[in-house]
Amino acid sequence: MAVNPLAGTQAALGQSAESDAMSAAAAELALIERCKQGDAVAFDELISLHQDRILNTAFRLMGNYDEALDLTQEVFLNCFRKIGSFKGDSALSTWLYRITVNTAKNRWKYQQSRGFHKTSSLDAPMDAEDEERLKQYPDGQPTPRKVATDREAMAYLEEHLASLNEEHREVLVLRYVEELSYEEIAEILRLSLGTVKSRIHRARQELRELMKDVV
Amino acid sequence: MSSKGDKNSHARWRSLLEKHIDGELDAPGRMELFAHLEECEECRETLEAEERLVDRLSRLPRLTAPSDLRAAILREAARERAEALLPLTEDERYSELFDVLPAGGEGGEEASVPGPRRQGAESRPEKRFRSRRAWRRLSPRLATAFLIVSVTLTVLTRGPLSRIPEADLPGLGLQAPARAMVQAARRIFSPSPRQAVVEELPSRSGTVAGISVEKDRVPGAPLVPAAHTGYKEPGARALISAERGLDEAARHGMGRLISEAAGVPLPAEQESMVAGAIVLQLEQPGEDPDGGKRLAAALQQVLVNRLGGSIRKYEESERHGQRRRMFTVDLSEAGVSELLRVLQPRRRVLPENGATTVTGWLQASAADANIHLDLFAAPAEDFSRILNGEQALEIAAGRYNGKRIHLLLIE
Repeated sequence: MAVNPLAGTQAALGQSAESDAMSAAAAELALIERCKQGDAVAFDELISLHQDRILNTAFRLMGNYDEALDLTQEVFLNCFRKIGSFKGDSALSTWLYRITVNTAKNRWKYQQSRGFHKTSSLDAPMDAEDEERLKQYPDGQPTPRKVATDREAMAYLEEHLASLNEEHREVLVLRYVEELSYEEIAEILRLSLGTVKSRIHRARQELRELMKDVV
Repeated sequence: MSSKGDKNSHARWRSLLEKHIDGELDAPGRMELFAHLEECEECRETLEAEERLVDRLSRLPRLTAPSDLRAAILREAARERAEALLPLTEDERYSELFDVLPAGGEGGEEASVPGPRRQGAESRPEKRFRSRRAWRRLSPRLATAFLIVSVTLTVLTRGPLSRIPEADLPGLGLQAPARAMVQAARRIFSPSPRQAVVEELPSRSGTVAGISVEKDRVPGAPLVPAAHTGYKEPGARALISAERGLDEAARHGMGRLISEAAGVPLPAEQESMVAGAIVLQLEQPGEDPDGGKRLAAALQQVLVNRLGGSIRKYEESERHGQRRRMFTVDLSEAGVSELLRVLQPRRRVLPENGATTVTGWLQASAADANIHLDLFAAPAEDFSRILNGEQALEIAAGRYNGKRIHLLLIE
């Protein structure tokens, strides 16, 4: 009978990972409890832990850096206001994502009611900020031309992502930018798993259509 | 017919493609799909496009939150807390600020703070008195001795001193709260060789003094006030900072007050060292139309009447164009106990060095005042000297992280 020489190590690693997850969950519960008691240091820790992911989600949902900063601030303030009602049924990050998405939706509604809309043109020449942003894309392609093409495609992708309807944008951001599972997305958006899957499918299809002319 | 069959068949392949992209396709399904992809260019292109899309989505650049975002959020949260009390009347605000204190304290009804009392709060004073009695039973020796426990209230305001009635201001003098804090820290951590860092932290309404005493500090090492995290942030002005190493405190006879507040037992032989000081610093942002009179009056009512304290002196100084008002109030042991309970200090272990500290957050805040609290304790006679300004103070000025700091060298 073949014996897996790594079995013990794997089991130990599994146990260790499980134990790490448990201690992380316990630490999160303790942090939440301190926040509920109005501990400012705990608020500070909570912000530090989650601000990057909330800012990124907000940026992809709003498509604008300044609005993303505003939204992030609003999310955390909402979090502080409502932390007392957080029952811990879901992970704190899930709860924060939900607040982020809902806050973004409110902003979209507000913007629509005020007649705001995106007017940037994909054909417009890139400004210095765009150029700078393009430089952030990781290089991984062998030829300069391909690099340029890929970067250009990424820029188009950003624009097209921002132009999707809200439902499609939020599922794509959560799934592929934030890399959340279907189950987590279902929990955040309070949708059934099937709805999440089909919505992601349609969103991807729409985005692919928009990107079809991009190499 | 054939076309419909193709369509159905294609829908099936698309479904398999979807599953594959989502990583949900089992091995036999994958084999089947790949075999199909060998023959079907359309599906192959679809898959490639999907994979390219997903890959690009996952490679969108990640932002890092700007360094001032956290501070901005905390500042806004603090402002909201303060504004939460705005709809209340002036008296209600004061009542809200101190409504957890016993009605009338031991001084009876004449000591009540003006303003409506909350309904349903009748049982709380009784509980607190029971708590006091329990504490006294625990330390009869200390209960009989008079412990000098000073509560120093500093009101930062631009208003004129003359607006506070003379009767409320016995013992005028000059002593900046920062100096008192420095001296207190010096005494607390003496005689062990330590270095304390006293920072002047600029805030919207003035300058807040903060002390960081580093355990086992090596002279000449970079100044890293590890114990102060949020406290250094401008937005965390309302944070009550009582961040002192409790282990350190216990070793040097810092009091049972902090020990109790933190829920950490103190060795019996150190109980005799119990005494404490509370520097309660009230900041009043912006203009104060009546020179802090109302606030001072309310504080006096609470500290003197409800907690049985007596104002020892009132001090006034001016710094960075702002007037500081500092009340020094002697409190009984029970009064301090009560105040500590009200202020709800919390124990935590600093991740940086494992030291236990006490950090508190005063739940109540008024629209016109944010409250800082620093808790520390020292032998009573030391505090007596410190607060009476008998100790000489020598500090060296320097800069750290762009902020002006004072270094206090403790021999």
